[in-house]
Amino acid sequence: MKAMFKKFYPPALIFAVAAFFYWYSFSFPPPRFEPMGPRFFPQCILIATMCLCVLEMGKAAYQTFRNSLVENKARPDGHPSSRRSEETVLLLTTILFLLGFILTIVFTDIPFLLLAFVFMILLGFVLSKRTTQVIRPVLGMATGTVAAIYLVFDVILKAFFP
Amino acid sequence: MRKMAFLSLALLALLGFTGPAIAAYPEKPIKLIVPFGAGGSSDMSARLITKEAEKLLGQSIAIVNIAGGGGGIGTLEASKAAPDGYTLLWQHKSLITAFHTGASEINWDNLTPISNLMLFNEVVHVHKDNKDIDTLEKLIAKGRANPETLRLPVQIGAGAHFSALELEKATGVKFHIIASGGDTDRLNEQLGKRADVVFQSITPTLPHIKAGTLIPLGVGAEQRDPGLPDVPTLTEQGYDVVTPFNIGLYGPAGLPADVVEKWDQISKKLMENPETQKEMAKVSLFPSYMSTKDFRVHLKKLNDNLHDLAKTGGLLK
Amino acid sequence: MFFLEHIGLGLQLVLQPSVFLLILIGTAIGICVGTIPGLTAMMAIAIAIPITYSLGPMQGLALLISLYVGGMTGGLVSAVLLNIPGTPSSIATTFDGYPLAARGKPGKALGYGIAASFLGGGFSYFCLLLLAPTLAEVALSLSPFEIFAIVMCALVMIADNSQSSLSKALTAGSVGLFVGTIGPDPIVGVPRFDFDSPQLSGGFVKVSILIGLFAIPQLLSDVRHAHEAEKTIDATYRDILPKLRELGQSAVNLIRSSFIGTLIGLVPGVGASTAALLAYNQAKLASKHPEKFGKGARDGIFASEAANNAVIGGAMIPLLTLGLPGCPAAALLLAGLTINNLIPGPLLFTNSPDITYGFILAFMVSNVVMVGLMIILIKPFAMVVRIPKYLLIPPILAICVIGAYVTNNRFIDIWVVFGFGLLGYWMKKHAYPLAPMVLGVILGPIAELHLRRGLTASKGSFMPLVNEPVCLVFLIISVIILVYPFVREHSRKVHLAQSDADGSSAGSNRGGA
Repeated sequence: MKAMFKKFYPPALIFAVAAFFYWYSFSFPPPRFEPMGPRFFPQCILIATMCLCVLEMGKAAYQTFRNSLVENKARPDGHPSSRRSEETVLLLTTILFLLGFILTIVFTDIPFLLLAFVFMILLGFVLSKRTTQVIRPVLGMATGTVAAIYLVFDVILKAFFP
Repeated sequence: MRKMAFLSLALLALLGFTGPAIAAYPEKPIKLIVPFGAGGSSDMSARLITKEAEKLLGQSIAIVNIAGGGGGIGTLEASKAAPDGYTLLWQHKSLITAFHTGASEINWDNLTPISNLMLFNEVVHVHKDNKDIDTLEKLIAKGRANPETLRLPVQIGAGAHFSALELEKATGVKFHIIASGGDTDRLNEQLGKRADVVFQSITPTLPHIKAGTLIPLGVGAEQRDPGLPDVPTLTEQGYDVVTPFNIGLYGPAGLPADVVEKWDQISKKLMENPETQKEMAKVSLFPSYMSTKDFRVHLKKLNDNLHDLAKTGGLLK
Repeated sequence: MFFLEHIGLGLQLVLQPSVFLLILIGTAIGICVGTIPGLTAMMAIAIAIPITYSLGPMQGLALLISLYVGGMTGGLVSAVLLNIPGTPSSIATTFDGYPLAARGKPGKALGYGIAASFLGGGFSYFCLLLLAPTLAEVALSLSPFEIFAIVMCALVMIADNSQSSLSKALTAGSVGLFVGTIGPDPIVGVPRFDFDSPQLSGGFVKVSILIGLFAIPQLLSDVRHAHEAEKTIDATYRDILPKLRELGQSAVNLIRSSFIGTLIGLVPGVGASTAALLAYNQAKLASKHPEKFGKGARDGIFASEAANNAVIGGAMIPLLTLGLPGCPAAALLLAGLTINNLIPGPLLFTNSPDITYGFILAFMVSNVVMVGLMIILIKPFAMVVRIPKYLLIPPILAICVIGAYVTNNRFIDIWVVFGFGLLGYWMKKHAYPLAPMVLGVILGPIAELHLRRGLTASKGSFMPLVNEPVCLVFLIISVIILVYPFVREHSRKVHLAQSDADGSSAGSNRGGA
């Protein structure tokens, strides 16, 4: 059942979102000066998406049905579960750090290069083996990258920093 | 003690980053948004004056092309920028036309008009292989006899579309209006013989007219265009179609008066510079400086004019 | 004789020390810019234009040209090493470049990419030099419906990917197509799906979506292997440079891909990513071992990189002969030419032959410089895969963030990277391939633009799609591509069933006798 849900919910979710946008697209103005107008193309695409999602959901349902007719052997896990949860924690931490990085860039006036430096050091440390050995390479990486960004973006490209 | 030291250092650092309250403008590069694709007359005209302008300004000017929506997208970007004088807009009547057709939410009075610099004219041209419409008379005769057959590409909602409507009104011909893009796209259609007649700015067509691939039928200006001195104006030929594109500088709403004044002065000097005038003449661009005050008057009149045209042409949003 | 004289003049101009130096600098910067995801060659050219004001005409143009060439090639480096295309044109290079690098052969993968870039580019520059006027006619002759057909064909081609189910690939593609419609309508400019937010009404910047969909999911899945790194890689020049034998075997592929790239470059508005894809798919169809594609087949890398560099030469043809820029970078070069009083068009070659040929030759020189630089740089580049991921992920994330911002100076672009990054990760986790999605975003607007333009010309009729020859050809190819996987599966199943039947009957015969 859980397996079926896992296969079923992505196309269902996409279907729902597509349906919402399809409904929303009726608020676009009707065609003027040309036969198609702003609505046609998105609507075609959304209908195609919804059809494909229905197909996917059908496939998922059919496969689950077939599997339930066969004896289910317990499948061994690829990774021991502790390792899996550690990886998930790392993943979530990375996402949170990235989010924090972006939030501080957008909502504070702290200069970008400083924020980038801090971000890289923190993330680098968290992702590594977290021993004292890694401090040097992580610092080196952060400094090097900040210097490179400065060189490429500011000097060469004369870009504007946020 | 250490904590205090650290805190005061941090405070100093923060203060350091607040930046000076008033400094000499401009102290960093300026961004000039051109809301059309690179290579068209709007773009080329901007690039032509940046060279001189940078000298007068003392700072570099970066041209940023943001094309689309008949100029509406770039205009929107410019209008959202901070009114600190570091982001300006280079626009012509498409600013107003895009507003009236609904492609853009921004009209001239949502921005700060600074000054008008130059103008370019449009020419009606056909491909040399279309022998049956190689004069204006033949074109109009065929057009009147066969409504909705002569293909005229425009960028929907842009200034060129309105020029096409004026042409229709004056000549009594109903053209088959095709959706296309900016200057180079429409030129492509013409050269590829997917269009019959095009009414577009002179600048990109010059090399082809000189090479004989395109035949100019009339210029939509009050006087003959020095770039095409042998081509009569449409008015001379009896059709009152005058559609100059006046290009000027705008800033976001709320631009400080001293910034406006500064750019007004620069615009005037640029257009009086004989070198610049020479470069401009080569590509059929002509100085038509208008001070801030005059510019506003011009825009108000243009706005009313285009609004009426949009209404009668069925283009109003 | 006249022709050779002009080439001689052009050569003299190009080989001046100042010009050569600028080509060197420009190519190097171009490669850097191309490598960094988020920065494109176009950006670099746009920024360089004011610099060219103070340089002589040949010098200024040489700088712009070399930035373009370098930028187009640089994309392959990050595509191969990190599975993150540095520029959209290198998306197809990730299909085979990254798997090959992941197998411990990053140097070889880079070597293939560079060789193909050089050969593809060179092919198109020769076309530019010798065949410009003829080919220019081709550039003009395509109608909007025909361009639509070509782009739709490219879109369908991405869906045929052996690594994922067709329906999932098509779904991803249509999600991408939908995302491409967010923003101003390409014809009328009416904002779509912006929920009245001024932030969204400008639409998404393609590059931010590219970074979000490719880089972030890749980096997030790399987090799981944060401690790992390649232990051994091939970094001797003997391993890196492709052998002549390999080039010879793939000669047909290389020529065909270069041809495709040049042709697509001719067509205004289609772009290098389409060219690379079409070439990739053609190579796969023509290959004796199509199952190797997607796992590190060198023909895949050859096809993609030869085509995307060939687009450059192709794009220059309508630019020089008619003044029609086919892509944003070409439009900037047009600006560069006009500023220097070189008005492209039919008279350019007669009025200023020396600098016009200098312009063309600058591409060739830049091509050679590019190879030289890249060969020197391969070894250090390849070392990147030996860096443990925990040292690679933070800087790349930081660069992605700033790269996204720099395009338009909007904060929304950074959020786009983040948002699409999460979306991309989710989709990848549920077996939806990302390449079709990104390509849908890029190609969708192009397809819609031309379809709608064509419809105004045909007054609402879809008939030209089957009437015009080019359209018909590409539509038939699209149908074949959609149907072929099913046919192949079906015939394989039938074949297996047959041999099963034969085998069992033979067995029983033997048993009986």
